[in-house]
Amino acid sequence: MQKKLTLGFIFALFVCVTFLPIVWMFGNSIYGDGGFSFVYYKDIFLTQKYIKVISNSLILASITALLSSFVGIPAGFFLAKTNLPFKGFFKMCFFIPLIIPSYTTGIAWANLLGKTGFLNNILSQYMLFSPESVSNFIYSIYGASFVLSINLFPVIMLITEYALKNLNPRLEESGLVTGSVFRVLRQITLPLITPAIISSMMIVFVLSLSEFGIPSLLQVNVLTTQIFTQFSAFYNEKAATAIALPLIAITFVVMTLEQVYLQGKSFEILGRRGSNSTIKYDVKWLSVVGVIFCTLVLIGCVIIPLSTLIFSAQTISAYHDAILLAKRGITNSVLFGSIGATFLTFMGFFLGYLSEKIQSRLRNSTALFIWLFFAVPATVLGIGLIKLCNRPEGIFQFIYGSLWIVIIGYVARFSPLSSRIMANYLKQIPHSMEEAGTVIGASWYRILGNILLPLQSHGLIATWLISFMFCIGEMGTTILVYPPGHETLPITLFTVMANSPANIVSALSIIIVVMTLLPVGVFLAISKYLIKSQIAQ
Amino acid sequence: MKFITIALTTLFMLAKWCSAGNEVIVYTSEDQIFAEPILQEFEKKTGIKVRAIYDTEETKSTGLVNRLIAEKDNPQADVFWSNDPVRPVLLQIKGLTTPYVSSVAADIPSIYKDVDGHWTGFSARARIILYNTNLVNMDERPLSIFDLVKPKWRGQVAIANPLFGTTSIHMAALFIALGDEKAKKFLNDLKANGVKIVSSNSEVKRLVARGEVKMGITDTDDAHMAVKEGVPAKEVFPDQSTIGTFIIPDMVSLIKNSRNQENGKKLIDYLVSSTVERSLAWAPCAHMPLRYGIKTPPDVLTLDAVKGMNINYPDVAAKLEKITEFLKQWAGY
Repeated sequence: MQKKLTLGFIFALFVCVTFLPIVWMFGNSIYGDGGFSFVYYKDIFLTQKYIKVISNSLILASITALLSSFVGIPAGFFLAKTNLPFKGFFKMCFFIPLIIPSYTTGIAWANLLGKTGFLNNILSQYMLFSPESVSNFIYSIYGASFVLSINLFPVIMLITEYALKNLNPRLEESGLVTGSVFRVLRQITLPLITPAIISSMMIVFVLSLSEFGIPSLLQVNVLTTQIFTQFSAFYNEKAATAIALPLIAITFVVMTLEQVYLQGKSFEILGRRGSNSTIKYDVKWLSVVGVIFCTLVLIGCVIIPLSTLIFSAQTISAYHDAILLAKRGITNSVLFGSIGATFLTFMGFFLGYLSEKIQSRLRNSTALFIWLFFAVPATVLGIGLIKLCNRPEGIFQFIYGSLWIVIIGYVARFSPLSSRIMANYLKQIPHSMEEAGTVIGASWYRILGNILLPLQSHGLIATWLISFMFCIGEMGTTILVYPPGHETLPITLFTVMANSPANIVSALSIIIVVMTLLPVGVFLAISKYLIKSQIAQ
Repeated sequence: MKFITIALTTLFMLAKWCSAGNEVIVYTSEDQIFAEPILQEFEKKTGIKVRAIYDTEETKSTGLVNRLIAEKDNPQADVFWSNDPVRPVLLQIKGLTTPYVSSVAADIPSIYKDVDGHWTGFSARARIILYNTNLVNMDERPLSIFDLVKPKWRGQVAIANPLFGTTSIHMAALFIALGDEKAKKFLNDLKANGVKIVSSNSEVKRLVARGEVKMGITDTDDAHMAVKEGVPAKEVFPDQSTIGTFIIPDMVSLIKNSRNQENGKKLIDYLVSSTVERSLAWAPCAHMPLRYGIKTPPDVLTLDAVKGMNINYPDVAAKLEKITEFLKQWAGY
């Protein structure tokens, strides 16, 4: 009963917060003047122009997912499985690309690779590229994928790292007795974290599909820029919503493919001991390769964009001015981000449980349902939330006029993400663990508190961290719903960006990085302490 | 039970109730760094608390106009301060504004005001050509936007996406001034000459500043900020001997059925006053006052020194609706 009530309540909450605003928008797009009409949908599937736009979106998302995994999977592996020196430093630095607003990273790379850019000069002087070809690259679908993969690889890295930490060490130990590191890696470790890798690639794929900032800056014509055009040039929310339909269709197909691929395979590998210790491949050459790899990633994905910002900020007074501008944004961002991430982790756990652990035929459909609308652009969701929540009645007025509308926006946008991450970790817990609790007569809450939650401490940490960073960076929905005085850091950055001196804008971007990393560092330190004391007990 | 009580108390403690006290809520697309000091000054003078929502550049988020439209049934904003003259007309057409004729604006020329008082103009920008002085000599600088189709500037001109912001309005004004056929020919010639279509006016400024293009069409505030930042660039008010330069006044509207109508009217009175026109002329955005006789810095032209396009702003709004599909195709969207 406890289980049914809790899961039912969380699912109902999800439906109200994420599902209703979007369904409202789609309903509105086919209903008008007293009747139903599919006029805005006809064009999408029948005209050559949209076929091109849809294929552009698919190319952008596919290349981004691939490039991000080329960087993210090895980075996650080196962090979890080797004795990499400066591990904590590398890890914190690798969060930075996810925190820097993608638009800012885009500007940094456009400056570097543009016709008069520093890297363009080097590439055209010492290699066979012409300045035009380098400049054309950055203003293309491939350039946009390149910049986006720099921004999103930490998602794959983090999910891979914590999936590796969740592995039952006995499996690898026995492999290492008889085989080489490579063999254990190929035949035991990698196959066991396959769902985590596929799931993280899918997350990056869908995030790239719904990305607007980079394609807009680099003039790449994708579905999100078409949606934006309908909103901002035509003020036609019905047409804009209709164009979001292919995004949902693509998400549905990708999700179904993932389910088909993973069907019938077992990944239940997490034992009690598995949550407490991780096997490290204590091989010197692997650590050396790790240092070289992580240093290259650090230079390409962190130092280059960050140094252009630091160089552009120039003076200490720029930071002073930026802090004055961002004072309220800093407090709001940290507060809203922490509350949002906590709600998301809470909801993510139960939604993940629903889509992974319930013994029902509906399990796969539930997972599909939760994930379905994740690619719908933030703007469509934002307008939907306004229509649902902006009402004169007391409780709605209370929500719409306070920080809770921002939190609802975060939960609406990212609960599919947090549930997907949690589901992927919950996949690793054998059903027998929960069954053992039930057999001895423990209530479901007790099973949760004593078995499932402690076993998933790594999963909960990863979910909170990713949710926090996404909440802090969220702008598309927040800018449409935030009440006056509740602006967050990205909103301050983007509203100030118009005509503020470039050095203040750069200083503000760096402040965003620092103000996100600080709570992340504190959270990591606390969670590490809690896990250690759990082991000691 | 204890947990629920603590959770609820925390929820309420964290929430700030929206009190409809002595306040006014303004949504503004004017850049925050220019609008904020003006609104703070109003607060100081009247004691009325201003709660403001600022916009990003048009191409960086969906923007306040969409929010205003979505909030129509339960408006949150009392006043909309627009940095262009077409969006208020659009809001008027959609039934979001309510008339208010401010007596303070009596000396503002009538072409910048709606007869019924749905919108009132003040402080203006202009659409100019910004050129890089390291790459273009003073004597070869283009004096007309029609010079930009000359082969010597092939691939050297940038323009913001014409579907959004002041560029879209400028295009609509050109269609009115030239007629559809000539305007389409100009745009097609510009495209054939390799014009670089970028995401926003600030991108135009960035590319000109870095010398990636020699010149671009943008607004006076971008040009003034570029010069202030030490960029080797100068502005040209184009077409002074022919159709004139396109003038873009700020406009302010009172939102229908909002909660603080009286305070909204007071804010409108303040915004359209000569005090604000003077402040915005001396601010880094260097807006041109619509009133004659307001003293401006030496580098800020007054409207009597500039030949403006002879344009009726509601016509521009109507034209924009008609040409948006063409502009979409032209921009490759």
